[in-house]
Amino acid sequence: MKIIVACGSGVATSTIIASKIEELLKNNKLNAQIIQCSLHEVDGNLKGASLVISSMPGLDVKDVPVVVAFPYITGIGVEDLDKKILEILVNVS
Amino acid sequence: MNIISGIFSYISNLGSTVVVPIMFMIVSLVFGLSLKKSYKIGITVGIGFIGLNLVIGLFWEYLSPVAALLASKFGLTMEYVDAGWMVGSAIGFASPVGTFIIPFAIAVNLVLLSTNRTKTLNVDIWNFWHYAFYGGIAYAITGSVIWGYVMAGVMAALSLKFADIGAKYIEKEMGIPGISVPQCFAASTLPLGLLLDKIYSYIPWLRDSNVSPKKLSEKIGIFGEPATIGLILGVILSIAVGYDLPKILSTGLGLASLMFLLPRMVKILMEGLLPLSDAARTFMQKKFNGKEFYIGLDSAITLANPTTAVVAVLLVPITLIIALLPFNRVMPGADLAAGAYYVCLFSLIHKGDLVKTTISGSILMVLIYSFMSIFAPMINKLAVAAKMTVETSGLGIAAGVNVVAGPLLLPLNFLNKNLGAILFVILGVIIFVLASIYEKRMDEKLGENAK
Repeated sequence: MKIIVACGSGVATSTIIASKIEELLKNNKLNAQIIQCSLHEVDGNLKGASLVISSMPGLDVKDVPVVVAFPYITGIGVEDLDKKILEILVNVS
Repeated sequence: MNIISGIFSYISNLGSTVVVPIMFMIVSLVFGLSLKKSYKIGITVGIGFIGLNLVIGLFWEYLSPVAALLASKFGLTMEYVDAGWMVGSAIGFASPVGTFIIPFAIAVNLVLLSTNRTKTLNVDIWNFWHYAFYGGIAYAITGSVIWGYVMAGVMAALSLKFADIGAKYIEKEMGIPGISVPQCFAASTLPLGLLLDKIYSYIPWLRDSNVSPKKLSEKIGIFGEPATIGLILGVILSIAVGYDLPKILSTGLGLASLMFLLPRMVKILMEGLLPLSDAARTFMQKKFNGKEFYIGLDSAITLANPTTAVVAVLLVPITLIIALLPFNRVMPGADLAAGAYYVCLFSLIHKGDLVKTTISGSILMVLIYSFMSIFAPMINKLAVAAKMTVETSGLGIAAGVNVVAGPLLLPLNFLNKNLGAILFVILGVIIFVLASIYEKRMDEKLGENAK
Protein backbone atom coordinates (compact mmCIF):
# COMPACT_ATOMS: atom_id res chain seq x y z
CA MET A 1 0.00 0.00 0.00
CA LYS A 2 1.28 3.43 -0.94
CA ILE A 3 0.09 6.72 0.54
CA ILE A 4 1.09 10.09 -0.87
CA VAL A 5 1.27 12.99 1.58
CA ALA A 6 1.53 16.33 -0.23
CA CYS A 7 1.83 19.98 0.67
CA GLY A 8 3.11 23.08 -1.12
CA SER A 9 6.81 22.37 -0.82
CA GLY A 10 6.86 18.83 0.55
CA VAL A 11 8.65 20.19 3.60
CA ALA A 12 6.63 21.69 6.39
CA THR A 13 2.93 20.88 6.48
CA SER A 14 3.39 17.47 4.89
CA THR A 15 5.86 16.54 7.63
CA ILE A 16 3.17 17.24 10.22
CA ILE A 17 0.61 15.20 8.30
CA ALA A 18 3.00 12.34 7.55
CA SER A 19 3.91 11.96 11.22
CA LYS A 20 0.23 11.74 12.17
CA ILE A 21 -0.38 9.13 9.46
CA GLU A 22 2.59 7.08 10.63
CA GLU A 23 1.14 7.10 14.12
CA LEU A 24 -2.32 6.15 12.84
CA LEU A 25 -0.92 3.23 10.83
CA LYS A 26 1.12 2.01 13.77
CA ASN A 27 -1.82 2.15 16.17
CA ASN A 28 -3.97 0.17 13.75
CA LYS A 29 -1.24 -2.29 12.80
CA LEU A 30 -1.35 -1.30 9.14
CA ASN A 31 1.61 -1.24 6.82
CA ALA A 32 2.06 1.36 4.13
CA GLN A 33 4.76 3.22 2.31
CA ILE A 34 4.39 6.95 2.90
CA ILE A 35 5.66 9.23 0.16
CA GLN A 36 6.01 12.85 1.19
CA CYS A 37 6.22 15.32 -1.67
CA SER A 38 5.35 18.72 -3.05
CA LEU A 39 2.31 19.72 -5.07
CA HIS A 40 4.21 19.35 -8.33
CA GLU A 41 5.50 15.88 -7.52
CA VAL A 42 2.11 14.27 -6.84
CA ASP A 43 1.54 13.30 -10.48
CA GLY A 44 4.90 11.57 -10.75
CA ASN A 45 4.29 9.48 -7.62
CA LEU A 46 0.68 8.58 -8.35
CA LYS A 47 1.27 5.13 -9.89
CA GLY A 48 0.12 2.44 -7.48
CA ALA A 49 -1.00 4.86 -4.78
CA SER A 50 -4.11 4.05 -2.75
CA LEU A 51 -4.63 7.44 -1.21
CA VAL A 52 -3.50 11.06 -1.51
CA ILE A 53 -3.53 13.12 1.67
CA SER A 54 -2.95 16.82 1.17
CA SER A 55 -3.09 20.21 2.85
CA MET A 56 -4.48 21.78 -0.30
CA PRO A 57 -8.16 21.62 -1.14
CA GLY A 58 -8.91 21.38 -4.84
CA LEU A 59 -6.08 19.06 -5.82
CA ASP A 60 -6.98 17.47 -9.15
CA VAL A 61 -6.08 13.77 -9.02
CA LYS A 62 -7.50 11.04 -11.22
CA ASP A 63 -8.60 7.61 -9.94
CA VAL A 64 -7.10 7.94 -6.47
CA PRO A 65 -9.12 9.15 -3.47
CA VAL A 66 -7.98 12.49 -2.04
CA VAL A 67 -8.37 13.55 1.58
CA VAL A 68 -7.75 17.11 2.79
CA ALA A 69 -6.03 16.90 6.15
CA PHE A 70 -6.73 20.25 7.83
CA PRO A 71 -7.63 18.53 11.13
CA TYR A 72 -4.05 17.24 11.53
CA ILE A 73 -2.80 20.81 11.29
CA THR A 74 -5.48 22.54 13.36
CA GLY A 75 -6.07 19.74 15.88
CA ILE A 76 -9.84 20.04 15.38
CA GLY A 77 -11.78 17.03 14.08
CA VAL A 78 -8.83 14.63 14.18
CA GLU A 79 -10.90 11.56 15.14
CA ASP A 80 -13.31 11.92 12.23
CA LEU A 81 -10.44 12.28 9.80
CA ASP A 82 -8.66 9.23 11.31
CA LYS A 83 -11.83 7.23 10.78
CA LYS A 84 -12.26 8.42 7.20
CA ILE A 85 -8.67 7.54 6.28
CA LEU A 86 -8.85 4.12 7.96
CA GLU A 87 -12.04 3.32 6.06
CA ILE A 88 -10.38 4.08 2.74
CA LEU A 89 -7.28 2.07 3.65
CA VAL A 90 -9.23 -0.96 4.89
CA ASN A 91 -11.25 -1.00 1.67
CA VAL A 92 -8.05 -1.06 -0.33
CA SER A 93 -6.26 -3.80 1.58
CA MET B 1 20.50 46.04 29.86
CA ASN B 2 24.24 45.63 29.36
CA ILE B 3 24.21 42.26 31.03
CA ILE B 4 21.43 41.09 28.73
CA SER B 5 23.20 42.21 25.56
CA GLY B 6 26.41 40.77 27.01
CA ILE B 7 24.77 37.38 27.41
CA PHE B 8 23.30 37.56 23.93
CA SER B 9 26.61 38.47 22.30
CA TYR B 10 28.40 35.67 24.20
CA ILE B 11 25.75 33.28 22.97
CA SER B 12 25.95 34.43 19.37
CA ASN B 13 29.75 34.12 19.50
CA LEU B 14 29.40 30.48 20.54
CA GLY B 15 27.95 29.73 17.13
CA SER B 16 24.32 29.04 16.49
CA THR B 17 24.87 25.42 15.44
CA VAL B 18 25.57 24.69 19.10
CA VAL B 19 23.40 27.23 20.83
CA VAL B 20 20.16 27.04 18.86
CA PRO B 21 19.54 23.34 19.59
CA ILE B 22 20.12 23.97 23.30
CA MET B 23 17.74 26.93 23.22
CA PHE B 24 15.03 24.95 21.48
CA MET B 25 15.48 22.25 24.09
CA ILE B 26 14.94 24.83 26.83
CA VAL B 27 11.86 26.29 25.12
CA SER B 28 10.46 22.76 24.77
CA LEU B 29 10.94 22.14 28.49
CA VAL B 30 9.12 25.42 29.19
CA PHE B 31 6.17 24.18 27.12
CA GLY B 32 6.03 21.14 29.40
CA LEU B 33 7.56 18.50 27.15
CA SER B 34 9.54 15.70 28.77
CA LEU B 35 13.33 15.86 28.99
CA LYS B 36 13.62 12.99 26.51
CA LYS B 37 11.38 14.69 23.95
CA SER B 38 13.09 18.04 24.47
CA TYR B 39 16.48 16.41 23.99
CA LYS B 40 15.26 14.87 20.76
CA ILE B 41 13.94 18.23 19.54
CA GLY B 42 17.27 19.87 20.30
CA ILE B 43 19.46 17.28 18.62
CA THR B 44 17.22 16.94 15.54
CA VAL B 45 17.14 20.71 15.05
CA GLY B 46 20.94 20.73 15.37
CA ILE B 47 21.28 17.99 12.75
CA GLY B 48 18.93 19.88 10.45
CA PHE B 49 21.10 23.00 10.70
CA ILE B 50 24.32 21.13 9.99
CA GLY B 51 22.71 19.27 7.09
CA LEU B 52 21.48 22.53 5.66
CA ASN B 53 24.92 24.12 6.01
CA LEU B 54 26.42 21.24 4.03
CA VAL B 55 24.00 21.76 1.17
CA ILE B 56 24.36 25.55 1.12
CA GLY B 57 28.00 24.97 0.24
CA LEU B 58 26.81 23.90 -3.22
CA PHE B 59 25.74 27.47 -3.89
CA TRP B 60 29.23 28.91 -3.79
CA GLU B 61 30.86 25.84 -5.23
CA TYR B 62 28.87 26.17 -8.45
CA LEU B 63 27.77 29.79 -8.53
CA SER B 64 30.77 31.80 -7.27
CA PRO B 65 32.72 31.32 -10.53
CA VAL B 66 29.57 32.09 -12.51
CA ALA B 67 29.05 35.33 -10.55
CA ALA B 68 32.68 36.33 -11.16
CA LEU B 69 32.30 35.73 -14.91
CA LEU B 70 28.98 37.62 -15.08
CA ALA B 71 30.75 40.56 -13.47
CA SER B 72 33.84 40.50 -15.69
CA LYS B 73 32.04 39.72 -18.96
CA PHE B 74 28.85 41.75 -18.67
CA GLY B 75 29.51 44.11 -15.76
CA LEU B 76 26.67 42.51 -13.80
CA THR B 77 27.56 42.81 -10.14
CA MET B 78 25.79 40.01 -8.35
CA GLU B 79 27.65 39.63 -5.07
CA TYR B 80 24.82 37.64 -3.49
CA VAL B 81 22.67 34.65 -4.38
CA ASP B 82 19.02 34.17 -3.46
CA ALA B 83 19.45 31.09 -1.27
CA GLY B 84 15.70 30.83 -0.91
CA TRP B 85 13.13 30.73 1.87
CA MET B 86 14.34 27.44 3.30
CA VAL B 87 17.74 28.94 4.04
CA GLY B 88 15.90 32.07 5.21
CA SER B 89 14.03 29.95 7.75
CA ALA B 90 17.27 28.57 9.15
CA ILE B 91 18.79 32.08 9.26
CA GLY B 92 15.70 33.28 11.12
CA PHE B 93 15.68 30.51 13.72
CA ALA B 94 19.46 30.73 14.15
CA SER B 95 19.47 34.51 14.73
CA PRO B 96 19.33 35.88 18.29
CA VAL B 97 15.69 36.77 17.59
CA GLY B 98 14.95 33.16 16.63
CA THR B 99 15.88 31.83 20.05
CA PHE B 100 12.66 32.87 21.78
CA ILE B 101 10.53 33.63 18.74
CA ILE B 102 8.02 30.86 19.46
CA PRO B 103 6.95 32.02 22.96
CA PHE B 104 7.32 35.66 21.87
CA ALA B 105 5.08 35.45 18.79
CA ILE B 106 2.55 33.39 20.76
CA ALA B 107 2.47 36.16 23.37
CA VAL B 108 1.91 38.80 20.66
CA ASN B 109 -0.91 36.69 19.20
CA LEU B 110 -2.59 36.08 22.57
CA VAL B 111 -2.46 39.77 23.51
CA LEU B 112 -4.00 40.83 20.18
CA LEU B 113 -6.66 38.09 20.40
CA SER B 114 -7.69 38.90 23.93
CA THR B 115 -7.95 42.62 23.11
CA ASN B 116 -10.00 41.81 19.96
CA ARG B 117 -7.39 43.37 17.67
CA THR B 118 -7.25 40.19 15.58
CA LYS B 119 -9.43 37.17 14.94
CA THR B 120 -6.60 34.87 13.90
CA LEU B 121 -5.08 32.22 16.14
CA ASN B 122 -1.80 31.44 14.39
CA VAL B 123 -1.08 27.74 14.95
CA ASP B 124 1.42 27.66 12.08
CA ILE B 125 4.38 27.73 14.47
CA TRP B 126 6.91 26.67 11.84
CA ASN B 127 6.36 29.89 9.92
CA PHE B 128 7.33 31.99 12.93
CA TRP B 129 10.77 31.93 11.33
CA HIS B 130 9.61 34.81 9.11
CA TYR B 131 9.23 37.08 12.13
CA ALA B 132 12.64 35.97 13.42
CA PHE B 133 14.16 36.59 9.98
CA TYR B 134 13.02 40.24 9.81
CA GLY B 135 13.81 40.70 13.49
CA GLY B 136 17.23 39.26 12.69
CA ILE B 137 17.80 41.81 9.92
CA ALA B 138 16.80 44.62 12.31
CA TYR B 139 19.27 43.17 14.81
CA ALA B 140 21.99 42.97 12.17
CA ILE B 141 21.47 46.66 11.33
CA THR B 142 21.12 48.06 14.85
CA GLY B 143 23.13 45.54 16.86
CA SER B 144 20.24 45.60 19.32
CA VAL B 145 18.48 42.34 20.19
CA ILE B 146 15.61 44.34 21.67
CA TRP B 147 14.90 46.24 18.44
CA GLY B 148 15.16 42.86 16.72
CA TYR B 149 12.34 41.46 18.85
CA VAL B 150 10.30 44.66 18.40
CA MET B 151 10.58 44.27 14.62
CA ALA B 152 9.57 40.60 14.90
CA GLY B 153 6.57 41.65 17.00
CA VAL B 154 5.51 44.29 14.46
CA MET B 155 5.69 41.74 11.63
CA ALA B 156 3.78 39.15 13.69
CA ALA B 157 1.02 41.67 14.45
CA LEU B 158 0.74 42.87 10.84
CA SER B 159 0.66 39.30 9.53
CA LEU B 160 -2.29 38.54 11.83
CA LYS B 161 -4.17 41.64 10.66
CA PHE B 162 -3.57 40.90 6.96
CA ALA B 163 -4.61 37.30 7.64
CA ASP B 164 -7.95 38.52 9.03
CA ILE B 165 -8.60 40.34 5.74
CA GLY B 166 -7.29 37.48 3.60
CA ALA B 167 -9.63 35.05 5.39
CA LYS B 168 -12.59 36.70 3.68
CA TYR B 169 -11.03 36.00 0.26
CA ILE B 170 -10.24 32.43 1.23
CA GLU B 171 -13.86 31.92 2.22
CA LYS B 172 -15.23 33.70 -0.89
CA GLU B 173 -12.92 32.25 -3.54
CA MET B 174 -12.15 28.81 -2.08
CA GLY B 175 -15.23 28.19 0.02
CA ILE B 176 -13.28 27.40 3.19
CA PRO B 177 -14.60 29.25 6.25
CA GLY B 178 -12.71 29.81 9.49
CA ILE B 179 -9.23 29.63 7.99
CA SER B 180 -6.71 32.44 7.53
CA VAL B 181 -3.11 32.62 6.30
CA PRO B 182 -0.81 34.60 8.61
CA GLN B 183 2.23 33.10 6.89
CA CYS B 184 4.24 36.32 6.79
CA PHE B 185 5.25 36.24 3.15
CA ALA B 186 1.82 35.56 1.68
CA ALA B 187 0.12 37.88 4.18
CA SER B 188 2.49 40.71 3.26
CA THR B 189 1.47 40.48 -0.40
CA LEU B 190 -2.16 41.20 0.53
CA PRO B 191 -1.99 45.02 0.70
CA LEU B 192 -0.04 45.15 -2.59
CA GLY B 193 -2.54 42.79 -4.22
CA LEU B 194 -5.53 44.84 -3.05
CA LEU B 195 -3.89 48.09 -4.20
CA LEU B 196 -3.04 46.68 -7.64
CA ASP B 197 -6.51 45.17 -8.03
CA LYS B 198 -7.96 48.63 -7.38
CA ILE B 199 -5.62 50.16 -9.98
CA TYR B 200 -6.49 47.47 -12.55
CA SER B 201 -10.17 48.33 -12.14
CA TYR B 202 -9.41 51.74 -13.73
CA ILE B 203 -7.61 50.25 -16.75
CA PRO B 204 -10.17 49.40 -19.45
CA TRP B 205 -8.44 46.49 -21.22
CA LEU B 206 -7.35 44.94 -17.95
CA ARG B 207 -10.50 45.48 -15.88
CA ASP B 208 -12.53 42.74 -17.53
CA SER B 209 -9.71 40.33 -18.23
CA ASN B 210 -10.80 36.85 -17.28
CA VAL B 211 -8.27 34.31 -18.45
CA SER B 212 -8.22 31.32 -16.18
CA PRO B 213 -6.31 28.15 -16.94
CA LYS B 214 -8.37 25.10 -16.22
CA LYS B 215 -6.25 22.42 -17.78
CA LEU B 216 -2.97 24.13 -18.55
CA SER B 217 -1.43 23.33 -15.18
CA GLU B 218 -1.49 19.60 -15.88
CA LYS B 219 1.02 20.09 -18.67
CA ILE B 220 3.53 21.84 -16.41
CA GLY B 221 4.51 18.52 -14.83
CA ILE B 222 8.26 18.20 -14.40
CA PHE B 223 8.88 21.85 -15.26
CA GLY B 224 7.40 22.81 -11.92
CA GLU B 225 9.69 20.43 -10.04
CA PRO B 226 12.47 22.16 -8.10
CA ALA B 227 15.18 19.86 -9.48
CA THR B 228 14.26 20.71 -13.07
CA ILE B 229 14.20 24.43 -12.30
CA GLY B 230 17.68 24.07 -10.75
CA LEU B 231 18.95 22.19 -13.79
CA ILE B 232 17.57 24.78 -16.22
CA LEU B 233 18.93 27.69 -14.15
CA GLY B 234 22.38 26.08 -14.05
CA VAL B 235 22.39 25.46 -17.80
CA ILE B 236 21.18 28.99 -18.66
CA LEU B 237 23.76 30.65 -16.40
CA SER B 238 26.56 28.41 -17.74
CA ILE B 239 25.69 29.17 -21.35
CA ALA B 240 25.47 32.90 -20.52
CA VAL B 241 29.02 32.96 -19.16
CA GLY B 242 30.35 30.82 -22.03
CA TYR B 243 31.16 27.52 -20.28
CA ASP B 244 31.99 24.43 -22.36
CA LEU B 245 29.58 21.48 -22.46
CA PRO B 246 31.00 19.40 -19.57
CA LYS B 247 30.91 22.47 -17.34
CA ILE B 248 27.38 23.38 -18.47
CA LEU B 249 26.18 19.91 -17.54
CA SER B 250 27.99 19.75 -14.21
CA THR B 251 26.72 23.19 -13.16
CA GLY B 252 23.19 22.18 -14.16
CA LEU B 253 23.41 18.96 -12.19
CA GLY B 254 24.97 20.79 -9.24
CA LEU B 255 22.06 23.21 -8.97
CA ALA B 256 19.53 20.43 -9.53
CA SER B 257 21.09 18.58 -6.58
CA LEU B 258 20.96 21.70 -4.49
CA MET B 259 17.26 22.23 -5.17
CA PHE B 260 16.55 18.57 -4.46
CA LEU B 261 18.59 18.37 -1.26
CA LEU B 262 17.54 21.66 0.38
CA PRO B 263 13.99 20.48 1.21
CA ARG B 264 15.38 17.18 2.57
CA MET B 265 17.51 19.05 5.07
CA VAL B 266 14.81 21.54 6.02
CA LYS B 267 12.55 18.55 6.59
CA ILE B 268 14.88 17.34 9.33
CA LEU B 269 14.67 20.75 10.98
CA MET B 270 10.90 20.58 10.68
CA GLU B 271 10.72 17.08 12.14
CA GLY B 272 12.70 18.34 15.08
CA LEU B 273 10.31 21.23 15.66
CA LEU B 274 7.19 19.12 15.23
CA PRO B 275 6.55 18.07 18.85
CA LEU B 276 7.28 21.63 19.97
CA SER B 277 4.85 23.10 17.48
CA ASP B 278 2.22 20.55 18.59
CA ALA B 279 2.71 21.53 22.23
CA ALA B 280 2.63 25.25 21.42
CA ARG B 281 -0.54 24.84 19.37
CA THR B 282 -2.32 22.90 22.12
CA PHE B 283 -1.26 25.57 24.62
CA MET B 284 -2.73 28.34 22.45
CA GLN B 285 -5.98 26.54 21.77
CA LYS B 286 -6.48 25.80 25.46
CA LYS B 287 -6.14 29.51 26.22
CA PHE B 288 -8.88 30.40 23.79
CA ASN B 289 -11.22 27.48 24.01
CA GLY B 290 -14.73 28.26 22.87
CA LYS B 291 -13.95 31.66 21.40
CA GLU B 292 -14.60 32.00 17.70
CA PHE B 293 -11.55 32.74 15.62
CA TYR B 294 -9.82 31.99 12.35
CA ILE B 295 -7.25 29.24 12.53
CA GLY B 296 -4.07 30.54 10.94
CA LEU B 297 -2.44 28.06 8.56
CA ASP B 298 0.41 28.00 6.07
CA SER B 299 -0.22 29.55 2.65
CA ALA B 300 0.16 26.03 1.20
CA ILE B 301 -3.60 25.60 1.67
CA THR B 302 -4.14 28.01 -1.25
CA LEU B 303 -1.63 26.45 -3.62
CA ALA B 304 -3.76 23.90 -5.46
CA ASN B 305 -4.92 26.64 -7.80
CA PRO B 306 -4.32 26.37 -11.56
CA THR B 307 -3.65 30.11 -11.94
CA THR B 308 -1.08 30.03 -9.14
CA ALA B 309 0.65 27.01 -10.68
CA VAL B 310 0.88 28.57 -14.14
CA VAL B 311 2.02 32.02 -12.95
CA ALA B 312 4.65 30.38 -10.71
CA VAL B 313 6.26 28.86 -13.80
CA LEU B 314 5.88 32.05 -15.89
CA LEU B 315 7.68 33.93 -13.12
CA VAL B 316 10.88 31.90 -13.59
CA PRO B 317 11.92 33.58 -16.88
CA ILE B 318 10.40 36.90 -15.76
CA THR B 319 12.55 36.85 -12.62
CA LEU B 320 15.68 36.10 -14.63
CA ILE B 321 14.99 39.21 -16.72
CA ILE B 322 14.23 41.32 -13.62
CA ALA B 323 17.60 40.25 -12.23
CA LEU B 324 19.27 42.08 -15.12
CA LEU B 325 17.89 45.44 -13.92
CA PRO B 326 20.66 47.83 -12.89
CA PHE B 327 19.73 48.09 -9.18
CA ASN B 328 19.98 44.37 -8.63
CA ARG B 329 22.85 42.72 -6.73
CA VAL B 330 21.30 39.27 -6.19
CA MET B 331 21.58 36.27 -8.48
CA PRO B 332 18.27 34.37 -8.75
CA GLY B 333 18.46 31.03 -6.98
CA ALA B 334 16.43 28.59 -4.94
CA ASP B 335 13.28 30.71 -4.68
CA LEU B 336 12.77 30.45 -8.44
CA ALA B 337 10.97 27.25 -7.43
CA ALA B 338 8.85 29.06 -4.84
CA GLY B 339 6.87 31.31 -7.17
CA ALA B 340 3.60 29.71 -6.10
CA TYR B 341 4.09 30.97 -2.54
CA TYR B 342 4.72 34.45 -3.90
CA VAL B 343 1.53 34.77 -5.94
CA CYS B 344 -0.97 32.52 -4.15
CA LEU B 345 -2.96 35.40 -2.65
CA PHE B 346 -2.84 37.41 -5.89
CA SER B 347 -4.67 34.55 -7.62
CA LEU B 348 -7.45 34.81 -5.05
CA ILE B 349 -7.64 38.63 -5.09
CA HIS B 350 -7.65 38.79 -8.91
CA LYS B 351 -10.26 35.98 -9.03
CA GLY B 352 -7.96 33.61 -10.88
CA ASP B 353 -7.23 35.95 -13.80
CA LEU B 354 -3.96 34.92 -15.39
CA VAL B 355 -3.07 38.35 -16.84
CA LYS B 356 -3.56 40.37 -13.65
CA THR B 357 -1.86 37.73 -11.51
CA THR B 358 1.16 37.65 -13.84
CA ILE B 359 1.47 41.46 -13.82
CA SER B 360 1.13 41.62 -10.03
CA GLY B 361 3.62 38.77 -9.67
CA SER B 362 6.16 40.61 -11.86
CA ILE B 363 5.76 43.86 -9.90
CA LEU B 364 6.19 41.88 -6.68
CA MET B 365 9.42 40.32 -7.96
CA VAL B 366 10.86 43.75 -8.85
CA LEU B 367 10.11 44.97 -5.31
CA ILE B 368 11.50 41.81 -3.70
CA TYR B 369 14.74 42.00 -5.66
CA SER B 370 15.07 45.70 -4.72
CA PHE B 371 14.66 45.00 -1.00
CA MET B 372 16.80 41.89 -1.21
CA SER B 373 19.59 43.92 -2.85
CA ILE B 374 19.42 46.51 -0.06
CA PHE B 375 19.36 44.04 2.82
CA ALA B 376 21.55 41.27 1.37
CA PRO B 377 24.65 42.39 3.35
CA MET B 378 22.74 42.04 6.65
CA ILE B 379 21.27 38.68 5.67
CA ASN B 380 24.74 37.44 4.75
CA LYS B 381 26.03 38.73 8.09
CA LEU B 382 23.41 36.61 9.88
CA ALA B 383 24.30 33.60 7.70
CA VAL B 384 28.00 34.02 8.54
CA ALA B 385 27.14 34.24 12.25
CA ALA B 386 25.14 31.02 11.86
CA LYS B 387 28.21 29.37 10.25
CA MET B 388 26.21 28.70 7.07
CA THR B 389 28.76 30.51 4.98
CA VAL B 390 32.07 32.32 5.39
CA GLU B 391 32.81 35.95 4.69
CA THR B 392 35.29 34.99 1.98
CA SER B 393 32.93 32.70 0.08
CA GLY B 394 32.94 35.02 -2.92
CA LEU B 395 29.15 34.91 -3.12
CA GLY B 396 27.02 36.12 -0.23
CA ILE B 397 23.78 34.54 0.96
CA ALA B 398 20.50 36.43 0.57
CA ALA B 399 16.85 35.46 0.87
CA GLY B 400 13.57 37.11 -0.13
CA VAL B 401 12.56 40.19 1.86
CA ASN B 402 8.81 40.73 1.75
CA VAL B 403 7.16 43.93 0.59
CA VAL B 404 5.93 45.00 4.03
CA ALA B 405 9.09 44.22 6.01
CA GLY B 406 11.27 45.87 3.35
CA PRO B 407 9.76 49.37 3.67
CA LEU B 408 9.64 49.06 7.47
CA LEU B 409 13.33 48.17 7.61
CA LEU B 410 14.36 51.04 5.31
CA PRO B 411 14.39 53.79 7.97
CA LEU B 412 16.66 51.59 10.10
CA ASN B 413 19.08 51.33 7.23
CA PHE B 414 19.26 55.04 6.42
CA LEU B 415 18.64 56.80 9.72
CA ASN B 416 20.14 56.81 13.18
CA LYS B 417 19.21 53.40 14.60
CA ASN B 418 16.97 54.51 17.47
CA LEU B 419 15.20 57.10 15.33
CA GLY B 420 14.77 54.51 12.58
CA ALA B 421 13.44 51.97 15.05
CA ILE B 422 10.88 54.40 16.45
CA LEU B 423 9.86 55.23 12.90
CA PHE B 424 9.30 51.56 11.96
CA VAL B 425 7.16 51.04 15.05
CA ILE B 426 5.05 54.11 14.16
CA LEU B 427 4.79 52.96 10.53
CA GLY B 428 3.80 49.49 11.70
CA VAL B 429 1.05 50.88 13.94
CA ILE B 430 -0.27 53.10 11.14
CA ILE B 431 -0.42 50.15 8.72
CA PHE B 432 -2.16 48.04 11.40
CA VAL B 433 -4.79 50.75 12.00
CA LEU B 434 -5.38 51.32 8.27
CA ALA B 435 -5.77 47.58 7.73
CA SER B 436 -8.26 47.40 10.61
CA ILE B 437 -10.32 50.23 9.07
CA TYR B 438 -10.22 48.48 5.69
CA GLU B 439 -11.36 45.24 7.31
CA LYS B 440 -14.27 46.99 9.03
CA ARG B 441 -15.43 48.54 5.75
CA MET B 442 -15.20 45.17 4.07
CA ASP B 443 -17.34 43.64 6.81
CA GLU B 444 -19.93 46.39 6.40
CA LYS B 445 -20.00 45.83 2.64
CA LEU B 446 -20.35 42.08 3.06
CA GLY B 447 -23.14 42.70 5.60
CA GLU B 448 -25.01 44.95 3.15
CA ASN B 449 -24.68 42.42 0.37
CA ALA B 450 -26.02 39.73 2.67
CA LYS B 451 -29.12 41.86 3.29
